[in-house]
Amino acid sequence: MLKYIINRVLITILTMFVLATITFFLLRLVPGDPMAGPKVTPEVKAILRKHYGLDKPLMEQYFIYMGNLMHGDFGWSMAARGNRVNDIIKNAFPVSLDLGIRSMIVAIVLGLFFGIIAALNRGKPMDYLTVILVLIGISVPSFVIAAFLQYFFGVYLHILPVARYDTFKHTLLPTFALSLGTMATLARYMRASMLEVMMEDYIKTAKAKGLRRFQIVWRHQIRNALFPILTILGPSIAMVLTGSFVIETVFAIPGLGRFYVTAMQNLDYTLVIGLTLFFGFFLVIMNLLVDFAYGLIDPRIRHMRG
Amino acid sequence: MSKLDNNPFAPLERSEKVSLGIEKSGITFWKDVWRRFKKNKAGIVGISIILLFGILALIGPLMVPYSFDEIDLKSTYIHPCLTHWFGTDHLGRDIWAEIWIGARVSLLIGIISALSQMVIGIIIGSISGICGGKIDMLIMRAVDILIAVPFLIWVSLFMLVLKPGIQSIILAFSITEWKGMARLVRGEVLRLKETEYVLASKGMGASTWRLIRKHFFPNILPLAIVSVTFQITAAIFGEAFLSYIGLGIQPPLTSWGVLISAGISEMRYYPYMLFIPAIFISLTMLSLQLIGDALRDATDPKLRQ
Repeated sequence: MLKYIINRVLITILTMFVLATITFFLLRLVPGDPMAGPKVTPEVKAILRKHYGLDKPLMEQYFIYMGNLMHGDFGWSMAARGNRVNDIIKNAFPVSLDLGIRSMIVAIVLGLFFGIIAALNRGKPMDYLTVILVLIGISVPSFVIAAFLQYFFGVYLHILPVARYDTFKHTLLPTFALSLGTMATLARYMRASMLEVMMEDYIKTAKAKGLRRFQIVWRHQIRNALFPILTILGPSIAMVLTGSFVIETVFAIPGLGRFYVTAMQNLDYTLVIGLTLFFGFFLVIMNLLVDFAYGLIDPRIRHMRG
Repeated sequence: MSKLDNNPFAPLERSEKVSLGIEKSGITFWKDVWRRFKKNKAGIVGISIILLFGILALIGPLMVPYSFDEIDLKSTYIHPCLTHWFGTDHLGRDIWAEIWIGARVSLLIGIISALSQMVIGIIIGSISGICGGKIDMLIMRAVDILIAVPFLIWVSLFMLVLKPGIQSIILAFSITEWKGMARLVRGEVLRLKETEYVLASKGMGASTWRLIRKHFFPNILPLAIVSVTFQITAAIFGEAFLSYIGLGIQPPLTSWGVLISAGISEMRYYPYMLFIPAIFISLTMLSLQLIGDALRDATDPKLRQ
């Protein structure tokens, strides 16, 4: 187990290193100039380029950047001048994290709930209703859902705000829009998993023992059905993170996703690299944790040596 | 009886009758898939919708006397009516024409990038699975790096470097999105390598090329086709997202993503501008999802009765 952990951590470090290198050189290939602007004279531009170290040879820039990265320093933002990338991340990450956690909770609770209800009522109206909900959740793009929600609750009913992220009321629409896709995926997997477990021998045994239906469903069926669901938690986190780009832009929420989109529109090299690395790092760590959690729960992996 | 005894091991002569008889009793894998696919109502609905959209994408723009990029500032924001079936947008362009030109662009991007991902993924995955060893490790590390970052980030990074347009979007999807297919194919090749019929084939001196042609490829293809249908939806969504943040299709050309993002900014007073393209993109994604599910059920030998 220890060897496995060390191996995984080493691969993670290598992955981050390659990721940083690729993003760094990829962005230098981008046509256009982050310093461009109607008020920027050539002299000012030269000073700015010097300030950001863009006048140095490319390889030197790369080594300076990687050296700073080793100390956890992402450098200065080029478009939002006077702001460190670290500070932007520090301010925006809690907002994104808050939205992400809310959405994950809603997605997990409702997704599992619908999956269980559908499986227990297989072939009945409740099941079809869930299947339709799942299909909508999977097939309607998140920004379309976000726009519909804005239109219906904000413009038509006038009961919920359509932008910003200040009070609890502000969080409702973005949370729901962000969670719907993941919710649908989870409901779908949970339904399939429940139906598979239903065929197992231990369910028959439990029925033969004369256990009450609630006990069979709760103690035997749901518990065992939950297990395969854990494996898609990693991808779900990635899904919520990607979804946040769109949702944060549509709802004007000052989170990482929105900064990422504007940084790309402004050709803000340092902010784009910084956020890409941050997202990559975050996801790799999350997947590592999900894998370890899986290993802890599954006795077959837990007792494996090597 | 006496006739048989005369020559018990005489080869049966190949006649048309014999081969026809065999052909009748046998059924090819794809015929069987189609037979089972037909029974799936949802799949049939999906494929009908996609075909309908495909046909309308070809002839739809010709059905109205307006061109999709014809600006008419005297007739802006007309609600859907008899002269403009889906209304007009902020520049007076006919939305019916725009929708079907957009369908061409979105479907083209979806289908071509999914197919090229499939080809790249099959090639890389097979190399990884068949060669094994260091090559396999190297490829798998590359896949790990690609997976570490969500595909929308990769695609947007590539789109920054490339010139915006249909070709660039397809290219960006193809370079970054082969990882899933490669993993799938590699796993399948590794599994097939252990099967007894491949061992038997090897034992009889089959070359690697023959193994690929006769055993690996036919087994991988159904899996690959199922995953392609899901990749098409991912690519259509990706294009819409890129166009929404301004890195995708640029005007005057249009796509469903461009139309939706225009609709979002106008939805307060002209909601039809959002609803119409949103319904088409959602129906397309839904149909592809239904086709993918039906194909997966139809190609899964475990579900065969």
